[in-house]
Amino acid sequence: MRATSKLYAILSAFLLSIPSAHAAEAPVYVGFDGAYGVKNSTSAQAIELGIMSAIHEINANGGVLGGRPLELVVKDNRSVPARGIANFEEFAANPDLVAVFGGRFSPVLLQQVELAQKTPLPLLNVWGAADGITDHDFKPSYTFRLSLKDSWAMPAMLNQALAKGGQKIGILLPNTGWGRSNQAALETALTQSPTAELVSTVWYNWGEQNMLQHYQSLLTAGAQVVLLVANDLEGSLLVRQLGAQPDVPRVPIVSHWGVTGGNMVEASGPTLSELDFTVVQTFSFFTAQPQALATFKKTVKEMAGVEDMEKIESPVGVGHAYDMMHLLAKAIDAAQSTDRATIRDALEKLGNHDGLVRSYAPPFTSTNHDALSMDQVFFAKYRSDGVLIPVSY
Amino acid sequence: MQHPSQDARNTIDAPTDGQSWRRGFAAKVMLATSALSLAVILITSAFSYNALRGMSLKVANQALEGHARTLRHDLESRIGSLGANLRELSANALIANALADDLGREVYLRDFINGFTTSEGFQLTVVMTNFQGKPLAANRSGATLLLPTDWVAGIVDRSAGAGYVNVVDGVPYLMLAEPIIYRNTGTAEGALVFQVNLQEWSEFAAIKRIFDEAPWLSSLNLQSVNAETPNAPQNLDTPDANAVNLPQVDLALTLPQNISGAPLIVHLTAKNDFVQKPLDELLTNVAVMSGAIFMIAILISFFLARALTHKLKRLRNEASQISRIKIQDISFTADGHDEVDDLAIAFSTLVDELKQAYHQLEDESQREIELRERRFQSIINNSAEGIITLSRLGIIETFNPSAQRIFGYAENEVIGQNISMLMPEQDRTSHDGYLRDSNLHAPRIINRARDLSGLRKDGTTFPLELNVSPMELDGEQKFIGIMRDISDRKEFEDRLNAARIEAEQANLAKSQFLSSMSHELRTPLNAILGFGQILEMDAKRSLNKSQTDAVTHILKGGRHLLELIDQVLNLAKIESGNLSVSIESIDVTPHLTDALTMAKAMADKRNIHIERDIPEKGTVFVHADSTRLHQIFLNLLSNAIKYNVEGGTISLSCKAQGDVCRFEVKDTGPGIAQELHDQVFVPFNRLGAESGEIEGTGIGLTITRELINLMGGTIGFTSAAGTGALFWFELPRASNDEGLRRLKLAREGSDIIDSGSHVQSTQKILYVEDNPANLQLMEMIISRHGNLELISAHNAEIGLALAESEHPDLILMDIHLPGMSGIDAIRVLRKNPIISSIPIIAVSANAMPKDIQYALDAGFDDYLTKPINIPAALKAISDALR
Repeated sequence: MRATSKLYAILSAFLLSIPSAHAAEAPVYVGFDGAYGVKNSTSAQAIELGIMSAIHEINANGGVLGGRPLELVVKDNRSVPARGIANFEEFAANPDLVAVFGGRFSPVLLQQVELAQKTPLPLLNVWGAADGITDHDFKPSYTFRLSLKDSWAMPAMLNQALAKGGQKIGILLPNTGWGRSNQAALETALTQSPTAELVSTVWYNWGEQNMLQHYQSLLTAGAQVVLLVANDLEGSLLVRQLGAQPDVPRVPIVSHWGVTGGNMVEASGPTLSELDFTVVQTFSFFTAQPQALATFKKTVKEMAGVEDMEKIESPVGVGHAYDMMHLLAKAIDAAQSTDRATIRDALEKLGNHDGLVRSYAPPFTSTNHDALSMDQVFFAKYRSDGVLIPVSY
Repeated sequence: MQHPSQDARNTIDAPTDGQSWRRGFAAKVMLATSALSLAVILITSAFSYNALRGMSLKVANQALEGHARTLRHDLESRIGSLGANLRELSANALIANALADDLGREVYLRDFINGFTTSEGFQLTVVMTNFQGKPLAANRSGATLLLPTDWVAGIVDRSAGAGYVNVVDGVPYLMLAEPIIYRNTGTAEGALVFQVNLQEWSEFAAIKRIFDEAPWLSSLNLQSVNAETPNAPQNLDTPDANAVNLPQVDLALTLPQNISGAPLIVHLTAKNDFVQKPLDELLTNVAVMSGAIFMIAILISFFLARALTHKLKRLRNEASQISRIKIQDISFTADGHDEVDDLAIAFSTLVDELKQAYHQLEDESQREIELRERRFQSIINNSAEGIITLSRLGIIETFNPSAQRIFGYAENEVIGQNISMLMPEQDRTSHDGYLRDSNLHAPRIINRARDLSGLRKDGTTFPLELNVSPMELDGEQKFIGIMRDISDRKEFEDRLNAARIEAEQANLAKSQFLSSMSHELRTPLNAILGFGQILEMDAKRSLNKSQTDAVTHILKGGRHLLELIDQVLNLAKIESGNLSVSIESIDVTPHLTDALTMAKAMADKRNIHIERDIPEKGTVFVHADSTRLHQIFLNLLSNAIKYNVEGGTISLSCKAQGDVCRFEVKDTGPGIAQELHDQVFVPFNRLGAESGEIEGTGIGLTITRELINLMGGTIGFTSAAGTGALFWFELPRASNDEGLRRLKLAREGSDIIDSGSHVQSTQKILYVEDNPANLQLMEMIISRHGNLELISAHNAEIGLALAESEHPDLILMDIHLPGMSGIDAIRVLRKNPIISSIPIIAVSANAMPKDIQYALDAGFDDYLTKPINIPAALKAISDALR
C-alpha cells in the first residue's frame, strides 16, 4: 500500500474531529459522488482530498455567505451510472446542498447530465473527460468542467504516437459513452493529422478478462502504436498479460488518463516500467502554480502532516477538485445565496482566479463551461515507484 | 297362515275360467324365476359394469399419469435449461458492461436472445434492471417487468439468482432472475430477468405431437394457483388410486428450490368417450340381450306353467273333496306320465292307506274312551269319599255311592237339586254366598279342606270335611266337592284333647307339688341344718365326742336330704324342659382344676390317688354352661371316688379331638357288669348300691347325661365287672379368643368379691319371718357378729312399720308370710321414698329358679334359699351392707 492511502485515512479521521469555528451557522453542503467502490480506486480519494483541502482553507477564512461553514457530503457510485443517478437524486433532496462534484467515470457523469439540468443542481466535473459532459444542448447548462476533454486528449495522444515513430495507429476503446466520445475525438484528430493512419479500432467491454487479444488484433492489423482508452483495471490487465507473454511484440502505448485513477503501478507489476507507456495528464505537482502550491502544501501539512507531494496519488483529481472548490466558494459568496440557479449563474461570472492548476481568467463564461484548455495537456510516465513524472520534466 | 280347509273352499268356489292358471303356483314360480333371473342379470351386469368402468378408469388414469409425467419432465427440463441460459447470459461481459453503457442495451438483449440456439421454444421476454430492480432495457419494446422491483433488488442484494411463478390474468408466468456482476467492483449491480408465458408450452410442436400419438388425450392445462388460495390441491404428486371418477390427473412440477411463488401443476384429462363410449355400448348390449332372454323365458314358462297348472288344479280339486266327501269316495285322476300324474297316483295310494288307518284309529280310540270312562266311573263309585259335582249355581249333577251312603239319599233324589239340601239350615246362606261370589271366596274355599256340618236325609247333622275344586267343562264353570264323614275323627280328637288337658293339669300339679314339697321340706331342713351348723361351729367348745358325732350325723343326713331334694328338682326341671343352660366359650383347665381340688378332699379320705392329664391353661376351650360343666366334673369325679376301692386310682384326662373336646374319668373300682349297662342312666337306679354303704341319690348320672345333651355333647362309658369303669363325654370346642376374653372379664370381676367377714360399726338388720325356728336361727347367726343388730317382725305389715321407724341398714324378708307376702311387701317398700333405698334380701325355701327370678324382678337385691348356708348368708349380708 502506498503511503498516501494511509495519508487519506489519517486525513479523514482528522477532518471529522475538527471542531468547526462556525458551529453556530448552518453549514452549506457540497456533494461528492465518487467511485470509491471500484477496485484499487485512488481517484475518489484524490478528489476528496482536493475538495477538503480547499474547504479547510475556506472555512478557516470564515466560510461562505458571511460565516457559514462548508461541509462535504460523500456518496459512492461504484462507477455504476444507476447508482450515480440515485446518489444525485439524494443530493438534490438536500436543499442546503448547493452543488455536486462528479467522479472519475464519464458514463456515470454523462447519465447525470440530464438529471442535473432537470433538478436543477450544478454538476461540477473534475475528472470525467467525455466531451458530452459539458457539450450538450441544455440551456442554461448546469454542468461545469475543470478537467481534460477527450477532444483535447485525442489529438495530443495522436501526436504523441506520431512522436513515438508510429504512423499506423491502433486504438482500444471501452464500449461506453466514454469510448464513443474518444472515437469521435480521434476521428476529428485524424483529420488534422494526415500522416497518421488508424489501422484498427477494437471495442472492449468493462471487465473483460483478455485484453491481450485486443492488443494483438491491433498489432495484427499493423498498428505501430496503440492508443489505450482505459481505466486502471483494464490497463493494468493488459500490461500484466503482456508481461506474461514475452513473445508478443511491445509497441509504444499512449494511454488516456483513466489508468491513473487507481493503483496502476501495483496492479501492472514490473512490466509497466519495461514498456514505452505514456499517459496524458493536465496537472502535476511538479508543474503546479507555485503560489497556490505553497498554500496547498501548508494546508495539507496542517491537515495531515503530509509534506511530500509525490506521495499524493491521482494528482489530477486533487488539483482539479482543489481549484473547483475554491471557484464554487467564490460563486456562493458572489451569489449571496445557496440558491442553485443563482450559484450556477455566479459560476459563469467569476473573476480571475489563481489556482493550483492554472490561473483562470476567468474560469467559466456563459458559453464556456470548461475551465481548462489544450494548453494544460501533457504526457507523463510512471516512475518505478509509481509516481507520475511529466515527460518533459 | 291360512287355514288349509278355508283355502280349499275358496278355490272350489272360485270361477274356473281360462285365466285361473295365472294364480297358480307354477305361474308364480315361473314369474318369480324369470324376475329373479332378470334381477340377477341386471345386478350382475351393474356390478360388472361398475367394476369394468372402475378398471377402465384406473387404467386410463395410469396411462394419463404416465403421459403427465412425461410432460412434466419436458417442462421441468425446459425450465432448467432456461435457467442455465439466463445464468450464461448474465455472466456475459457485454451485459455487465451494458450496466454502465446506456446505449444499445435493447439491441444486445435482442441479439443475444435471437442468438440463443435453444430458447426452449418460448417467446422469451428479457428485462435488464439496475440494482434497484428498475428496468433499464428489454428485448422487446413495451415489455413490462412482471415482478416487483423490490424482489429483483433482493436478487441483486443477495447476488443470487431466483425464480418466481406468478399468475397474471389466469396465465402462469415464470420469471427467472439472475444478478449481473459488475466487473469494476465485483458486486452485483443489476439483474437480468427472463419472463416466460408458460401457457405457450402446451402449443409447442413437441407437446402437440404427444396428443397426436395419443388421440384419447383430451386437454392439457398448465394450472397454477396462487399460494394464498385456500383450495390448493393436496398430495399433488400422488394421485389417489381409488378415485376413478374422472379420467384426469394433476402432477405438480418439481422446480429448483430458488423458484418460489405459485405451484405449477400439469393437469391432463382424457376424452370422456375414451372410457365411457365402449362401456355404454356394452351396457346397451347387455340390456337388449337380457331383455330378449327374459321374454323367451316368459313364453316358455307360460306354456309349461299353463299345462302344469291345469293338472295341479285338477289334483287340488280332487284333494279338496276330502273336506266335503267321505274319504272313501275320493279318487285322483292320472291321465299322463309326468310327475303330477305320479303325484296323483301317489295320492290315490295314500288315500287308500289313510282309509285303512282311519278305520283302525276310529276303533282304537272308541275302545280307549270306553275303557277310560269305566276306570273313572269305578274310581268314583268305589271312592270312600263322597264325590259330588255341582254346576256353577250349586245344582248337583253327579252324586257317587259314597255320597249316597254319607247322606242317605239315593242318586235320583239329589240330582238336579241344590247342594244346600245337604246342609243344615244355618250353613245354607253362607254357602250360597260362597257360590255366588266364588271368585271372591275362592282363596278360602277352593282346594282347602274345610270342616262343615252335613245334613242327612233323616235330618241328623254330622261333621263333614269338604274339599271343593273348580273345573271347567265345555267352557262352563263347575265344582267338584269331595267330602268325608269325620264323625269318628272328631270324636277321637275330642277325647285326645281332654286327655291332653288332663295331662297338662297333672303336670302342673306335679310341678306345684315339687315346688311346695321343696319348700315344705326345706323349711324344716333350714332348722335342722342351720342349728346343726351352729352346733358344729360350737362343737369343740361345748360338745362331747358323741354329741359331736351326733351333730355330724344330723348335718350329714340333712345335707344328703337337701342334695336329694335339689337333684329331684333338677331332674324334674330337666324332664319338664325348664332347665336352661347358658352356653359360652369356656377354658376347661380352670374348671378341671377347681373340680379336682374339691374332689381331692374326698379322695384323700379314701386314700385314692388322682392322675391327671389336662391341657395347659388357655389352650382348650369348649362351648358349655360354666356352672353345669362344674357340676358334671364333680359328679363324675365323686362317682369315681365313691365307687372305687380304698387306695385306688382315678385318671382324669382331657384332650381336644377335632371339633370336640373329650373328657375321660377312669376309676379302678369294681366296674359295671355288662348286663347292667343299659340301666346306668336310669334315674334312681343305683345298680345294686342302694344296699351298700355308699351314699347316693341314683339320679346323678341321669342329670349328667341330660346336661351334656343340653350342651350339645355326648356321654358314654366302657366297663366290665372287675375292671373299673371309664366314663367319657365330649363337648363342642370353642375358639381360644372367645375364651381368653371371657377369662379376662372373669378376672376383673373376681377382684371385687371380698370375703365379707369385716363389717365395721354396728348395723341394724330387720328380719321379717313368721317361722320362729328360722328367726331364732338367724338371730344366732347374726349374734355371732358383735357389730350387727337384728330386729324382727313376724309379718309384713309389722316389718313395714319397723322399717319406717327403725330405718334398718338391711332387710331380710321371707316370701311366704301370713297376710301380705314378701313380694307385696317389697313393692310397698320400694314405693316409700323414706325406705326405698334400703337393700333387701329375700330368704325363702322356694328354690325354684322361676321363684327366684320373680322375686328379683319384684325388687329384691339378693335371694337366699333355705336351708341357709351360713357362710353364704353371711357373705350376702356383708355384701349388702357394704
